[in-house]
Amino acid sequence: MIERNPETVTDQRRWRSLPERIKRVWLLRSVFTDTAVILICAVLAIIFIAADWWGFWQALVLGLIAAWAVVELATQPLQTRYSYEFTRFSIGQRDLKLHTGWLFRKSVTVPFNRVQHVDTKQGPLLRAFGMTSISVHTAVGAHEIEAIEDAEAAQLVDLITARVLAVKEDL
Amino acid sequence: MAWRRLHPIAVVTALIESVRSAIALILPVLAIAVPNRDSAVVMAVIVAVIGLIAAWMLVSPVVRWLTTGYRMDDHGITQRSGVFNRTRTTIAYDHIHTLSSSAPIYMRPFHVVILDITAAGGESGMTLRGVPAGVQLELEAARQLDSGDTVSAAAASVGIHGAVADTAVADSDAAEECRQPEEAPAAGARTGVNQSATGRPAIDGELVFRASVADIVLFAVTDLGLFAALIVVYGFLDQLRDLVPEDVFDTAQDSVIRFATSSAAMIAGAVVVVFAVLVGASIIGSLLRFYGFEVWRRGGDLVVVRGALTRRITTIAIDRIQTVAIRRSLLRRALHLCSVRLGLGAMAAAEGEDGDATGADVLPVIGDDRVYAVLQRMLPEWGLEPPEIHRTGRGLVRYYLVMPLAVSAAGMAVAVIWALVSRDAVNWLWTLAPAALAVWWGLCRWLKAASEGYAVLDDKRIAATGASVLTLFTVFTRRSRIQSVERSSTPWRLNRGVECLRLPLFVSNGISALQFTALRSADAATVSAWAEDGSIRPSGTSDRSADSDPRNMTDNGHRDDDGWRAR
Repeated sequence: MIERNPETVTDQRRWRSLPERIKRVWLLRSVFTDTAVILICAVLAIIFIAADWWGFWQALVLGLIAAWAVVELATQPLQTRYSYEFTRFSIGQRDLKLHTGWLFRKSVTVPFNRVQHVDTKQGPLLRAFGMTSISVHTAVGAHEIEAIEDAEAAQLVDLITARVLAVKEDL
Repeated sequence: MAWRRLHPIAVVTALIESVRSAIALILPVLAIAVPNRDSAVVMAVIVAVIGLIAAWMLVSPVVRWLTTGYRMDDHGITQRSGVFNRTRTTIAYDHIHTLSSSAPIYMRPFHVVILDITAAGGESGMTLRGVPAGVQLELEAARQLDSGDTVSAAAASVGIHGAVADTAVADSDAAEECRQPEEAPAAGARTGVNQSATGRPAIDGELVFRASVADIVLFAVTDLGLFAALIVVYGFLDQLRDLVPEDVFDTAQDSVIRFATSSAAMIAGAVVVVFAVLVGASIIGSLLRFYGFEVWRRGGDLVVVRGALTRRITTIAIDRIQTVAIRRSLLRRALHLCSVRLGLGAMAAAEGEDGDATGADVLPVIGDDRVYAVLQRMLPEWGLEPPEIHRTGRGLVRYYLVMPLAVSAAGMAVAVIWALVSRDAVNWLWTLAPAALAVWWGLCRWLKAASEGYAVLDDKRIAATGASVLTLFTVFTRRSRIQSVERSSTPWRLNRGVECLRLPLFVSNGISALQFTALRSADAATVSAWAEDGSIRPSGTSDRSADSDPRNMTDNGHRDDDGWRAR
């Protein structure tokens, strides 16, 4: 029976939040997508009515989708606040840990000796707010630190890469 | 290094493929031609189209053969092909996961095979049609040398000579094999170069398993896939409807139905005949795929040999095995039978094989009482023994059933609204669909709840059990194969100390994650701690009060992590 290394138990990991500006990015993303969904529903309703193909089921389905989008948009400030509070990451000596989700919570640990490569990504919204996302790839998928300051992104990638190399050399 | 050309028999292989494709193209053209045979213009166009297809069918295999070559250098194997788009694929020796060769009956006189080389991932790989059988062993030796396994490399290189020596005496061995096809091997028997079976290369290694004809028949009659043949037959008949005049088809169908249902005895007889035909087809298919099934251990490789008309040989590097999965369908479980598949990062299918039966299926069917003994001989470094499983789903069945019941209830609500709005009594039958969904999905989830569990064997190995649809499985894997640890839950489940845990694995041909749909936080913490740093602690208790104890929920060695969970 192998006992846990006492150093591991007392290891105080440093947990970090995402930059505060990510809240505005999430809000804007929600505004764009929810508005698009509501507009598409409206356009489809107009087309169906014009084509004389409007009935109970069409109204029910489009109404439910549009209502979901409206509720999603209305509650987005609250969701964003909670999401931000529950999203954290930590870069340890041997692994990366991510916490996401406030209602459906998920905690992921990626050991560095399983990492295949690390890449960064910057869409228009993240670029506008001076942030970059970092993806850590394993053989079966990727795990993302959703946003980090532009200036810090390269340093963080270097840190992860160095720890990946250090752990792999230990094997 | 000079480019090597494929054997001219490769033209025959390509021609067979071409003929198949051409027939698939010509049949629809004929379907258009037959009703329009009076029109001279249509017939002229159709004759021209068929002529072009036939010309393409004859020319393309030769062009493909002329433009395809391969070479092996110090680092890897490269294949080039194509006329207008030249393609060059290189696989480094140390990236090779599996080597699968198949020797169709028309290739055997020339001692050449179709060789499939797979690297990690589903898309990378190459197929060489018509290469000498020894190339497989050359590649094995090169792979093992690149991996630093000189002992296995030497064994493989001895096997090269064995392959050449044996193929020359294949025909004389065939008669002897036919006389004693089911002779069981002595456990751990060593083979010499000249010891061989029907028309296949001798393997210079240790024979660890041979399936008898009785084993293969047992596989066939317990293979639930035989019922899939009914769907194939139905699909064929449906396609026939497009070619045969409709009145002729309907008349024939009515005659058969009237004859088969004329009395209770005829109905029973028809059912028996259909079942017998399906079982017979399944037995023939299984014999063609698995006749002469043998598993050999050669140094750091497993070599799986199988097939009646087309002999297939798959070489699997032991150090590339990700999982060992023992599977039991409900029918096989009732008969105390199981099958074993090795989980790999690449498909181990030889030419002409589908993903359901490949070289990774090292034990197609075997008795429960023998499986661990055979696996010990096959993979001694895995130390496989019946594990003492800690069942994680016990007492948590409601968490498994919430989703099926919620979805079925929503479906039922929609069906009821539909029936009420339409005011048609027949539409109430739609309510049966969500009810059936609830029963089927609920049954599958209940089976998961009853079967999911784990056993931490040591700091490097774990066994996990579960169910996929109605098939139960036990998976063994190593900590180094687990890619990440994913724990998820909701606030209300966390309050009750219940989570979902998923450990993804790099497996392309089977169970690709250890998944626990609902388990107590104490169990999740135990498995997570093992996966993260190899630490072992007693399995989580099933006591509810213990679940809600923060010390149990948070004991994974990282206090801040636990603070997040407790919020």
